[in-house]
Amino acid sequence: MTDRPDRPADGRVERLAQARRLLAEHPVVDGHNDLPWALRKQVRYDLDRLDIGADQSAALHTDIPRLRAGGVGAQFWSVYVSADLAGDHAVSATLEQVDAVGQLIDRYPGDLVRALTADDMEAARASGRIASLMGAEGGHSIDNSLATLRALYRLGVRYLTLTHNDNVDWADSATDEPRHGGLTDFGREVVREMNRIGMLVDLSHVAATTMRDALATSAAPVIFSHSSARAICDHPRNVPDDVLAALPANGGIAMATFVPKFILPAAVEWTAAADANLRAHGFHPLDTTPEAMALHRAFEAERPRPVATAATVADHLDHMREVAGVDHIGIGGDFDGTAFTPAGLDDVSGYPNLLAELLERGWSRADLAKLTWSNAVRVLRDAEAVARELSATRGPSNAVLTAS
Amino acid sequence: MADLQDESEAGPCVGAPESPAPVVADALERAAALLAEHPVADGCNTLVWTLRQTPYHDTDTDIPRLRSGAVGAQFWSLLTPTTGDRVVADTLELIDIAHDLVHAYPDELLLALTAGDLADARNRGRIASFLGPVSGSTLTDSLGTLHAFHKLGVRSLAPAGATWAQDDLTPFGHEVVREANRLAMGLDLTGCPPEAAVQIAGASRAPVLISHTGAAALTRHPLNVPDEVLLAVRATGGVCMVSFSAEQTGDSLHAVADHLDHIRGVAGPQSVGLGACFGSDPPHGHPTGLTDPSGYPRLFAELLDRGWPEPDLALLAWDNVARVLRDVEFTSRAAHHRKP
Repeated sequence: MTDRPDRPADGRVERLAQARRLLAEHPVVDGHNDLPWALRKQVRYDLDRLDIGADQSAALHTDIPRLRAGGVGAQFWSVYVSADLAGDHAVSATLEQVDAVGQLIDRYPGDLVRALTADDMEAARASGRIASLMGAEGGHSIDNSLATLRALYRLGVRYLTLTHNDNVDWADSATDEPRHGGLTDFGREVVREMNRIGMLVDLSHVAATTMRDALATSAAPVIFSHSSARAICDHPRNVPDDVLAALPANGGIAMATFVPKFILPAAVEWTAAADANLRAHGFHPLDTTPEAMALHRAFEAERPRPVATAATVADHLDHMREVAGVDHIGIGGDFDGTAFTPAGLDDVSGYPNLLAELLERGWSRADLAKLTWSNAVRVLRDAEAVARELSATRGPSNAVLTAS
Repeated sequence: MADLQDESEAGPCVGAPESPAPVVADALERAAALLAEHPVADGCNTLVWTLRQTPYHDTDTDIPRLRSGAVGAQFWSLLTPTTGDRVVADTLELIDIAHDLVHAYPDELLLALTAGDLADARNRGRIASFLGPVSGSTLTDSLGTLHAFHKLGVRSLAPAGATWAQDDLTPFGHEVVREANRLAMGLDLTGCPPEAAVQIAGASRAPVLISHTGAAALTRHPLNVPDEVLLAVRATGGVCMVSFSAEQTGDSLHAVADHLDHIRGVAGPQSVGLGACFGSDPPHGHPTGLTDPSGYPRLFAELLDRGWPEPDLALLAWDNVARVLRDVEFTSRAAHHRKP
């Protein structure tokens, strides 16, 4: 708007500076970052070998200098474990992931601080440190046990994504064959127990039927820790409009993700072909080891990869804002959980570019402050209030999954 | 009460043939007085597992009976008989139930995490409740799970059954022992094969314990320990706690006392303790006279009759456990500069 036709770059520079000023005051709460899993895979949690206190752009999307440059004020670190793990192996691996986040927090006390509540998030912001929260990704991490769910909560985990890419015994995933048609009775009990203890219900990765069942069951606001709009890019990982429209009544938020293969229609097709290529060479499609990445690059040389940009993410956010409202959106980049990232949002230092794009599109400072910081903090605070109320009237649930 | 005692005790009381009945009653009074001063710190109760199994119970453990048995501290066992890939989840469930149990009786039970809490509970008239042991087979190839258990309040680990403590302590097993020392997590050698038990005791820089056992020299049973293990525990400054189990010790109060005599003789009065293993539904399989926690005073009366000096009984009841907990913490503080 302030662009002069002869010096178009000026406006962009100005907006970027404005975005940085805004982030200094209202930093980003990011819903999902897979750094712990990357540290497990690359160096088996040997934090000396991959010191995120220094620049690690060769190996990771995430390190502290770039989090700082990106204006990140709070991060839900994913304690994801592969759905190939089941039973005790999944639970143990989740505990190891939780332990690794604890080690990170202890190791960088000047930059990271453990956050368990909305108040902790505000205190972290006031002290200039990055509030570090945890989210578990997939019901396999609790092995059909509500006591394990409670144990994860006691260890500091604050959201549970109901499924990952595979169905669990009580909920359908977006990327698996429908088996239950949403949540089973036990699945509803899991949601109720999450409400009671104050664990956020995360509906990224779940089937639309599961989203609707969970919204009908949950007494607390839900989140989508890293999902975008299905109307913009028709991928099952995204949120359909009727579910987005239900968020105002529920109070929850959908945090737009940056993963190109979910947000850019052209990339959906390309990814299907690339995954087939990886499988043909015996790799898991989510593999990000050097060997797998080399294969990816060779494939790319033959068939150029469609590139998403900050504008692609902004398209989703514009739509999500239209349907769900400005109080019900957020950001969940999925850095270090995806092989590719959009141009301009290459790593965790990229958030200012997204904000500059949104400023360009006329988003107000107040709107952006909600998007980056206050919506997410509000959701955690509201979930805490619901938990206080419910736990005063209801004891722990000891329901078990009966073999069907 | 005293009359009934006279009848049952006078007959088999071989230690003091000339003792007339009133002396036995006197021993019971002295035992009660001693226990008022030095309550029992019991190393093993399986109530948590029982509570998980069924909603209806006829268990031998309840707070009135713990109180009348002068129990002042209790380790609540979190061992599960499950194997395979449900051990971690089951253990987390048991931890959850144990927390619920402690929170349900705030006037009676106090969650204890340190030796300081043990003293605190005693000063406030609560039963200090330690969580543990958890099964070592929950640790397969990493220590993250151990850290999580520690954060959730667990204070002892039983390596028995773990792949890393079968006959030989593997390198990973050594790492577990080091980390347990660093975290102030007690090592409970109950059920370990003797070779592994001796190796763990040798590797540990902190005292080790055996939470429910008997002397293999008297009764052969997989959970009973041979003298070489008793000596190894003694060398660490640890404690061997005798179980009240008809199978492990023989079906009478005197048989339990025989085991205590033997362990005191081999491991020394500094390394003998009590880990009754109450807390199950019937059939309990406890020796007659010691069928629930209210039986402790009778046992102490018997030991007085056998000539145990009162300071040794104080060690047996409370002081040995308190010392082990303090020493485990001391070792941990000394090791805490090490990273996880």
